[in-house]
Amino acid sequence: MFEYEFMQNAMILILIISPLFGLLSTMVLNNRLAYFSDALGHSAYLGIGIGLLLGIATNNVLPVVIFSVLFAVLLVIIKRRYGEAPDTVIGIIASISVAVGIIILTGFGGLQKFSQLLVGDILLVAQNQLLPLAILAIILIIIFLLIYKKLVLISVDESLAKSKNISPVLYEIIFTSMVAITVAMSINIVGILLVSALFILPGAISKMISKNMKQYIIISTISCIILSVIGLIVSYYFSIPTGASIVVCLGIVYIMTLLLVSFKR
Amino acid sequence: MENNSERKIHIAKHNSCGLCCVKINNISVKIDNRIILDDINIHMHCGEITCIIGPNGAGKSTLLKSILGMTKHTGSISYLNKNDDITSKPIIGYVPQKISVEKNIPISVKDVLNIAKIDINNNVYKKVIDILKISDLLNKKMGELSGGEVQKVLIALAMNPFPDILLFDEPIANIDRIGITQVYKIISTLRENFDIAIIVVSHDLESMYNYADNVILMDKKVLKQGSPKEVYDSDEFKKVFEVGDINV
Repeated sequence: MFEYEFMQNAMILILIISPLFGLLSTMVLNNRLAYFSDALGHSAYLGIGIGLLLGIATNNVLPVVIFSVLFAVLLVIIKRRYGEAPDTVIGIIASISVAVGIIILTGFGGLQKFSQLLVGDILLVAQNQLLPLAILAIILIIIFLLIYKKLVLISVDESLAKSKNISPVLYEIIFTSMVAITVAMSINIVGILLVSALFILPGAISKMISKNMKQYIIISTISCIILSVIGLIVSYYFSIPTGASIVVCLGIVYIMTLLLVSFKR
Repeated sequence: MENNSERKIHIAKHNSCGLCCVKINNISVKIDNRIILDDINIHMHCGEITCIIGPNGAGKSTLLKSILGMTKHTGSISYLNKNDDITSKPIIGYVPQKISVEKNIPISVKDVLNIAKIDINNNVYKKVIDILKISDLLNKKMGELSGGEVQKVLIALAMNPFPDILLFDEPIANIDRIGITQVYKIISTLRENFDIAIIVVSHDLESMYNYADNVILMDKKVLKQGSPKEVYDSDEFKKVFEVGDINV
């Protein structure tokens, strides 16, 4: 199957983005940002719409990256302002951006034309984007390794973090921007509908079997890479969307791990 | 007052130099023109446990946040160490009430200590870990600890960088009775072994009577300060806590 160029590109992209999902998902769960990553995923619709208005091709990730980061910063500020119950406001803003995105996309020749964005399409992966994406991924991984300990401390107690001169708002903005960038990088292959699942499943699998931070991060990352590759191969043989295939693979392993862990107890 | 003798023993064991001095000068906080704190002045020395008590809404948490520099306030905090160096930025170790770690998240006690850069082989921290008795907990997950165990880990976290002032926010809010005694004993032991000024905000009037050196009764402003006996016997105390005859 790897004699086809589109499969080579898809495999390279999977190897670029899957470690990111594995790493970020640990802290998404740790800092309770699952809902947040969902909102970010949906907001990408508007990012693509705005990109189209500016005359940029739908498979160019740059406008989505910029828009998603701005959106992430906005969401963090709103979340902070509304204290304990930010989900209403985040929900409203996410749905408005989806709605406006749909309207813009409809204006550009109907939704059907863009339905591939919902579930992803490996044919959208452009070879000339792989190198910039790989560089971006390496930068994100380095930033993650630099900040994850601070994120852990923030998740333990925000005032404690503040007393050690760690700004929870700053790190939350950095981290959600990283989530936003990862969303933008992977929409073409995973699709808007399922991208948030990849921020939850690897961490959730790892959470059940690891005993400390190191194991948690390593198991999450490795299982995400392996299962994403398997997902891609399965999607090729069964001609199904790659995003859905990866999520099902992760889902099966999640359920199996859950059963194993419950039996053991 | 049967616990008075126990109290005297605690004070007699005093080992710290007693020369370092924390001065909290004229701290006031106003939010939307409402006065939350009005001209708070507190002086204390290392090796002393100062307890802040007061009714709900008295501004105790705001005072803690002001000391930590998390709330806008007027006034100043100065710290004079034993070499007579004055600094407006003493190192403050903050011990929060509780943590928000999800039960199943695989963060071990060791992970958290590592993150706070606490070197368990360093002599000072060896002693801290010894006092806290947490060496058996190192491989446990944070979410699996009892309230008292969590509090001990949080105290360890507050010890790096080594603090001039240790701040406790309701240290016993999530702990059972046995844990409470343990935590107060630890606070006393820390006071005896290190040159740290300790501030405790608490509702636990009874324990504070036994363990504090100074008590500050506040309700937006300082109503009364002094030894536990002086404060607990005062009219201000009886008025605030609506007791005719307090029996501790």
